[in-house]
Amino acid sequence: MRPKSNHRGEVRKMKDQGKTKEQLLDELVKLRHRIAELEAADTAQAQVEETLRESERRYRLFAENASDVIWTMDIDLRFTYVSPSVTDMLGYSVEEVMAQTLEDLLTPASLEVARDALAEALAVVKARDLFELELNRKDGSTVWTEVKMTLLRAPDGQPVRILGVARDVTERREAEQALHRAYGELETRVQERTAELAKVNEALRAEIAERERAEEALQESKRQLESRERFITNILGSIPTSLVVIDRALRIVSVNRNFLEKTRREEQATLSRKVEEVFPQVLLKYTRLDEKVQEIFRTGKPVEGGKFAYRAPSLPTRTYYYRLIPLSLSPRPGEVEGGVENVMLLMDDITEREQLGEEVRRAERHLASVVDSAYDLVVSMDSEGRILTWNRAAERTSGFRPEVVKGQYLPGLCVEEDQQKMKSWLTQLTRGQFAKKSIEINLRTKGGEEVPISWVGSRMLNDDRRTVGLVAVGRDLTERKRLEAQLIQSAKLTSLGVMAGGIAHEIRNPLAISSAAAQLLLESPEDEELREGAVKRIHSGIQRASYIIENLLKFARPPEERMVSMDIDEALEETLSLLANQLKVQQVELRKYLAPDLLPVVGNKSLLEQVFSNMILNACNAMPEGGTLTVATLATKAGVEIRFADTGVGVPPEHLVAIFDPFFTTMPVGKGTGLGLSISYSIIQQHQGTIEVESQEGQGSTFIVRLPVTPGSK
Amino acid sequence: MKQELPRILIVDDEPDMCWVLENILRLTGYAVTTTTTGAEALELLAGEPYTAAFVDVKLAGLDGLELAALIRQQSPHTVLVLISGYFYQEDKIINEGLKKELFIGFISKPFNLEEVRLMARQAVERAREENHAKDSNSGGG
Repeated sequence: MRPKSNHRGEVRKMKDQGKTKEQLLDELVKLRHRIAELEAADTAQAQVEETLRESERRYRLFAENASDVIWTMDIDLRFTYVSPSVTDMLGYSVEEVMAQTLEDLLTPASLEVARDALAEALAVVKARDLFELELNRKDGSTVWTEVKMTLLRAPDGQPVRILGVARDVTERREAEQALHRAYGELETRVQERTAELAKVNEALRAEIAERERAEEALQESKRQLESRERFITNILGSIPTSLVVIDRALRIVSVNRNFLEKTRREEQATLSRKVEEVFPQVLLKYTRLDEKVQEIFRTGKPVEGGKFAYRAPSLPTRTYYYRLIPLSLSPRPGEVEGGVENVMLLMDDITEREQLGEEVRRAERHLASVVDSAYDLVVSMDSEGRILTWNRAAERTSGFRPEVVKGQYLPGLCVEEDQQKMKSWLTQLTRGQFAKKSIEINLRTKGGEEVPISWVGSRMLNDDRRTVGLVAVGRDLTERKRLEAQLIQSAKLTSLGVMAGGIAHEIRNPLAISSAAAQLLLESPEDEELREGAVKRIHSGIQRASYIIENLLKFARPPEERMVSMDIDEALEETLSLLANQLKVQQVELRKYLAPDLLPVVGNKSLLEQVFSNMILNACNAMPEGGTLTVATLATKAGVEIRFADTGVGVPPEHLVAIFDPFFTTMPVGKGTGLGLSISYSIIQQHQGTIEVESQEGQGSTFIVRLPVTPGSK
Repeated sequence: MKQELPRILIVDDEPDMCWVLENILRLTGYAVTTTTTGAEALELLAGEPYTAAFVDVKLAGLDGLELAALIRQQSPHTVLVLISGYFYQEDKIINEGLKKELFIGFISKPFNLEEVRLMARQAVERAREENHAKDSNSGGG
């Protein structure tokens, strides 16, 4: 169903076209109003009827000739008049139409419309004037009409007649419908076309997009190609290698920037030139470059060249490493590989590398000479302990050449009893465990001699802090031991000097007794009692003197090399007997508390006696006004403890730290060497013992010597 | 009346030395007393007068020189002779003692018997001289 508005618009248009008819109708309406007015003015119904009839007659002529169908109906909806044009419209005669009712004439839908319109018109004064109704034709078809309807009223306002004008609008409607159809079709067409266009458009767009993509890809690959080309050109230009491309005719096809810079050549003076024009004859002769290039053209195999020196004008000579590489053509169809098109010469400037290598070698030589000129033995080992390097000092000390010991284990070069000690020390070192700072282990020389060495070790770690090697530095202690022995001896002689006075007195006493007794015996040989007493005293005096001399000799004698099992108390007694007189002379009272049954100590008796005499003489020196010296021995868990306590001046705290240092002395120059305590210290250390001092200034000092006993010995 | 023998005191820390000195002087004709300590020596001197004393320079507990000074102080009439194995005649301390007349002589060990006898004679002589001087002084006064 078409929208009403459209329909109405069309109606108005049509009305405009039939303007004269409209005007006539308006006049008619106005006339009717006038009639109504007249009728209202006249009260008589008949008069009205008459007037109406007259008016009807007056206008019938007009109505009879009108093409529109003009009709009137009474209020019961019965036709009172129908103009003859109705026959053209419906096929019915006027009479036939007059006999019909609205139900007969109108299609059911239009009847509905008409009834509504009439009801509306009857109810209200102002009625709708135009509406379209579909009428049934005699031949069974229908015709669309535009109906204008007016309600005619009596002067009292009662509706009496309905006046209508019906016009055939079939054509118009057909035209309209055709138009609508056309519109519809057009729209469909347009839609179809639009759809087609859209499709085409879509396809076009897709194609465009595709082309754009393709273009983009093309551009991209072009860009990539360009950038790769640039990249390669840049690389070739910036690599620190000189590149020269040579063709079959030994002409230079291409070179890179580096080559031009290194050789100080212009590009145009290089390209297309023969190899012999560019490279110096000497160089070509030396490298046989041209022959090699020709060989590559024949064989297609690259050649690892070698080193050559090249000197560009006004530049220092540089060293190059060169290679020759064939550049092949892409294989033609049917060929497995293309032939060699060009040969590329690569020249790497290795001047710095060579210099660096030279420097490294120099540094190595330098280091090696440092290590070799070291006085100490320097032995480096791999992490397994196999000897890698063996310096000259090691060779000198051991008598073994480096090539002999290389790959051997260090413990195997030590004296038998120390091999295990060396092995465990190296193991500790490898593991990075606490190892003794230095360890004394004797080497066995090629000649079979023993050399005392003090070793210090360290491990070499890699970046992962794993042990990759060991270094042991050994100091030959032979000389030091000799010097130490000398020092000990000289200190002993010093002690002897100090003792000499006391010892002289000590000897002169028994000598005096013996001598006097002998003289008495000479004078009075008959006096039996005197003789007996004299002989006894002569004998004992001589015994005493010889005992003193013997002790003195023992003390003065250079020490024995070997350690023996010895009794500490006995050594102390012997030392004290030598010094007894010295103590007496210095007004020093001696108190001895020697523990019986001390375990024997493995030691060097004469060295330990030297320590004891040092302790005793020091105590005497600390007591210039006399005093008491207490010598005590004591068995401890670890061994033997020997205490020398004096009641002397004591050691000021600031001297306590230096007291065992060599040459430390508080005595006036010439009175003491200051070596006594330091020598005592080193002797006790050799015995794996300790020596320490406790002192209170003005109260006295106590020196405590501790010596280990041999486990299980008695 | 038999003349009383001159009394001599011997101080030496070695009994054997005391025995030898005692026998030398006894046989020569002196009344000899011996002791091995300085303390006992002073005690003995305080009890009886001695013409002379032979003192060992080095004694345990009391220095011989100190003892000499004490004896001089306590019994000025006893003439002193020093014996030593430690010092020599030339030592300064001995020279000074002689000069100050702390002791009249010095015997170094070992010695000849005659040295001891001479010293004993000189000591007795000196004591007699001193007594005589005293006597004449008192007689004259």
